[in-house]
This record gives sequence, structure tokens and C-alpha cells, in this order.
Amino acid sequence: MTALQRVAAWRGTGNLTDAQFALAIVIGVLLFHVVIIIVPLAYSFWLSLHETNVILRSSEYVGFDLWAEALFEEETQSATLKSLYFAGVSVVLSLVLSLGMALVLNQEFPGRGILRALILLPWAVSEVVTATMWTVMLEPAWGFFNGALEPLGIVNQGHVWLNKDWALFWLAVAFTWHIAPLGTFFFLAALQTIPQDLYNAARIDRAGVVSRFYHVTLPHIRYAVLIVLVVVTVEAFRQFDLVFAMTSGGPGTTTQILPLLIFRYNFQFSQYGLASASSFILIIIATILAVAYFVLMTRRSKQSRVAAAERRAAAAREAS
Amino acid sequence: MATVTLENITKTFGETLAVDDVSLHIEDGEFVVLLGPSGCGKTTTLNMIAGLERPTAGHISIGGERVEHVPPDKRDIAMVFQSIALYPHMTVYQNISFPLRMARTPRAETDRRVRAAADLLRIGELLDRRPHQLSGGQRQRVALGRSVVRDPAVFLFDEPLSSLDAKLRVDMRVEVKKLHERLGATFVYVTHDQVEAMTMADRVAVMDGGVVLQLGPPDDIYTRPANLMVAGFLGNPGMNFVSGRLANGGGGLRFEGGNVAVELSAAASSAAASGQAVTLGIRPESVEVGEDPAQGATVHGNIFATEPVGSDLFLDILFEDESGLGEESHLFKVRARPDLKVQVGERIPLCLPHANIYLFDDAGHRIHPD
Repeated sequence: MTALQRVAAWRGTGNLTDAQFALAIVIGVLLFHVVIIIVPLAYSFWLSLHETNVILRSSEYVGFDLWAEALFEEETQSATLKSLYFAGVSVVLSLVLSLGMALVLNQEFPGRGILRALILLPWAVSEVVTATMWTVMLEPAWGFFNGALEPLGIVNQGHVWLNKDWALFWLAVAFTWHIAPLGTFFFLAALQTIPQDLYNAARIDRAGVVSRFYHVTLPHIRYAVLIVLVVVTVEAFRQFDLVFAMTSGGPGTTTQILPLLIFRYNFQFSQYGLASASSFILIIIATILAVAYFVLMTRRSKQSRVAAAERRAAAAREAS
Repeated sequence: MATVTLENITKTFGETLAVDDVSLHIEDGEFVVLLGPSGCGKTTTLNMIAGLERPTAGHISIGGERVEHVPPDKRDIAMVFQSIALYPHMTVYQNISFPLRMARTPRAETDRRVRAAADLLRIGELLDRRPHQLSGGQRQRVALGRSVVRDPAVFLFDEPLSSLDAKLRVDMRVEVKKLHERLGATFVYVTHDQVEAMTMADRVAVMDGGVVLQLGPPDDIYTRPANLMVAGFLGNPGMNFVSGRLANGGGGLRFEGGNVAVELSAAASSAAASGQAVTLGIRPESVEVGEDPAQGATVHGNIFATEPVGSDLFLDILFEDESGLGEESHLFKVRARPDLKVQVGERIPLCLPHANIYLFDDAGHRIHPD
């Protein structure tokens, strides 16, 4: 007798109503969630309100002072801006790249199945491995990039890719390489729901390639775009492994994005309160962005509803 | 307004031959239906006229101009799809105006033409709705509107009514026919529904296995089927077939086979020879219950089952041999008056009128009436 059958048999005794049964099977997961999510969250919220001293093993309630410090401290602000830049570049690059790859993989060509499987690989590779790979490729003395581009005269000999102006950009590129396949996966799934007849109809209706993309493809993948935007933004904001492994925030602090700073607050300076407060700022920014996407993406349909209402009113005026 | 001409059109998909050397000339303003079972190549043929598929070999002309290398948008055609294919995020107005907007038609003219098309199809009330808020019939009208608004020379239809329920299909059938009368454009209509073909077409092209089996006016296709395939495909239920051999009989030839013997008329006898293997065909609606030696030959059969459908009573007849055996797979259908009183198992006489008997040779071609 499997566990499920046992549950079914037990349920069959009529001891539980449907609601009770549902509660009974959900409660375990709920408890699990409370333990691994709610408790740490509450604890870190408590931490963010207390100034802790590791040596004295004391903590003192300071209200939202640490939040204010995190908000107005130059170091945190600079890290926040870097996080925004990193996320911005990553989102734009991975949206373009993943949609492009999905459009290609949606075409019929021999070997498509294998390519579809292969394309997901970078996402399956761990971020530390991704970081190592890109570090090697960008290595000034013997890396692939310089090896390929120096002879062509595109870059100077020994060009340092991860310099103070561009390191963060190349981190975003490496991150895009890692995350874009996931977007491709979402887009490909959405693209496959578009009926071929719609494209045929659009072709006959004199819509060109761009119009077909805009009027047929895009409306169908709108929600996939939303999902990819949210996922990539959130992933970019909480990205730590890749950046830590590639530059550890350097050169200097030029790639010290918010999660790295929080890590340093916490583990190097033992400023648990400040680290917690900064974490909440990070969460809030990511949440605001995610909500903004939802609002932006759903506003369009509201606009067309308004337009329709206006047209109806105009027609009514005409009729009277 | 335009003629459509297909010359020796062939289309293969990899190893599969979808359309095999089809030639067809469609007159300006004609309503031609491509009729056939699924997979017969009719939709592929239509897609080639539309430009959605390119023929492997052969030429296509629309209005006298070669178009096989012209993209669909430059062929002056409109198409209505089986899946209707309305743009789901656009309103009815936006859907109908889409081809005009794509052609950068001035706004005022677009508006005038959209409203004219909407009036023609009685969907003026629905212009602000979206496709998912419409019923099946309304969606179909919008799809028609989207093609009408372009005022194309040729309308192409790919089983547009097959997604509708039976009653709606009957209404829309009339509507499409009226639309053709009003617009006077060339219509090419693909369907597997013989009733649609019979009721709407000026001419029907019956297709199977990638070839046109017969092309002609609906009544011609029905009364003078070129071969067994066409004869069996048209009519509901389809024509009865009995295979057998011809022998010398009383006055002329006699058909023997399937546990029946039928004396043939002089006309039929002159079309064939004794000893020839033939298939005898007769439509269920041509067979009379009872004996009438002046009209036709008489056969006797047992009633295997009865199928009353209200307006008619269909009898399934089994012809048995001396030992009382007959094959159920060779049931012979007869359409009788609905008030006929018969019992299952009863042996009844049937009159096969000479005028309605068809003979097909062993290659399946009709040899009588010629």
C-alpha cells in the first residue's frame, strides 16, 4: 500500500471534511515554510533593528537607525547603484539574447532537438563554474578573448577586460550567458502556443516580418516577457556567487554590488544589523521593480479598454 | 476580379507526394469547391494558390499573371482559415482593419470600408469586442469581414465552417453563398463536407490522393460520377456497390455477384461485354421497395436493420446465398418512405430502376451510363 493509498483509505473513513483534509496535507509544507523562510526573515528583521556587538555579545535596540544608515551611507548607495546597473545590463542583454535564441530555435531545421537541449546547458552549469570559465576567457595574458582579438588588432596586447570601468559590464555579460537559456526556455514554450494560421493570416494581410512579430508574436509572449523580466531582475539583484568568484568586488570596489557589500558587512565586519537592514533594502528594490513590470505590462490592455469606450461614446453621438 | 489557373501543379513534402500534377482552370467570378477526404491534397492546393506553399513543379496564374514566385501579400487574395485565425488581442474593428492598416490605407477610407464590411456581415454591433467575447458564428463573420474589407480578386476558404456546430453551419453556408453572389469575386473553397460542396459550388473538384478525380457542376458530379471513388464519396449514405461479373442473360447481359442477379437494360448491355468483371452501383435513394418490371430489375433481400431518421427510413438489406449466408460488411442501403411498415428479418422485393444503375469497370471507371 502506497502512502497515497493509505491517505485515501484513511480519508475514506469519513473522519475529515474536504477542507480539513486539504489543511492536513498542506500543514506540513506550511510548517516547513515557516521554519525555513518566516523564522529567518523575522530574525533578520529583528537583527536589522538592533546594533549587535560580537565581542561584548550584546545587542541594543536602535529602531530604524540601521535602515537609515544603510539608505544614506555612501557605500551602500554606491553598491545599490552598481546593483541597478548590473541588473539593468543583465535584463536588457538576456531579454534580447533569450528571445533571439527562442525565435531561432522555434524554426524548423535539422538538429533542432539537440540544439534545444544544448542551449539550456549554461543555465545548468553552476555560477562558480561560469565565473571560472569567464575569468579564464577574459584573462589578459592567455585568455580566449585576447587570443582571438589581439591578432585582429581589435584590442591592445594584454588588454585587461575586467578593468575598473568595464568589469561590472563583463560580469553582467557572464551572468547573461548563464541566465539567458532560462529565458529562452520560457520564450520557446510561449512561442509554441502561437497558431501557425495566425502567421499565415498575417502574411496574407500584408504584414511584413516586423509587423508579424509586433502584431502576432509579441502579444502572445507578453506574459513570458513579464516572467523573464521578473526572474532575471530578481536573480541579478541577489547575484553573489558569480561576482564573488570572478572579481570579489574588485578592482577596488568597482564591482561591489549590494549582495557583496551585505556579505562584507556580515562576515568581515560582523555588522549583522546593518547587513540585515541592507538586505531588506535589496528585497524592497527587487519587489518594487517586479510590481512595476506587472503594472506596465497590464496597463496596455487598460488603455485599449479606454479607447474602446471612447469609440463607443463617439458612435453613440453619431447615432443620436 | 480574376481567373485562377493551375498548370501541372505538383507538391511534395520530403518523400510524400501531396499534390500530383493537378491542372485546374477557375473562371473569373466562379465559385469552385475542392472536395475530398482529409489528406487528399486539397488544402495544400489552396495554400499554393495563396502562396503559403510553393509548388514543387508547375505554374499558377491569378488574373493571367504567373504568381508562383509572388509572395501571398502581393497576390490580391484573401483567405479564411479553418481555425478562423483572428488576432486575439485586437478588437473586431482592429481585426477587420488590419489588412488596410498594413497597406497604409488612409484612416477615413479604412473606417468607411470597415463599417461597410461590418454592415454587410451584420457585425456592426461587435466592433469593440475582442474575439474571445464572440460566439463561433460571430467570429466566422469577423474572419469573413477581414477578407471582404480588402476587396480582393480571389477569396480562398480553408474549411471555414468545420469548427461550427451543425445548425450554424447551415446558416453560414447560405451566408457564404450570398456573399459570393453579392461580391461577384472568384471563390475557391476547400471542404470535406459534400453538402457544402453541392449547395454552394458552381463547379466541384473532387480530389483524392493528390489528384483531381472529377471536375464539374455539382449535379454532374452526383449524377455522372467519373469513377467509383467519386460515386462513393458523394451522397449520404453513399452509393451501394456490388462487385461481380457479367453473363449472357435473357435479352441482354445479366449482372451476377454478391448473391444477386440483375438483368441489365439494352443500353447497359451495349456498354459492356459478357464475362467482364464490373461493379454495379446504385444510390440508396434510387432503389424502390416492391416490384416494377417496367422500370427495372427486381432483386430480393432480407432486412438486416432499419434506420428511421424522421424524414426517411433507411433499410439495411442483406443478400443471402442458398445456405442463408451473407456478409454484414456488404449491407445494401435503401431509402424508403418513412411510413413503410416492415419487420427486421423480412424478405422484401426491391426494384433497381434501369435508369439509375451504374456500371464501373475493374479499374473503377464508369462505363454506364456513358
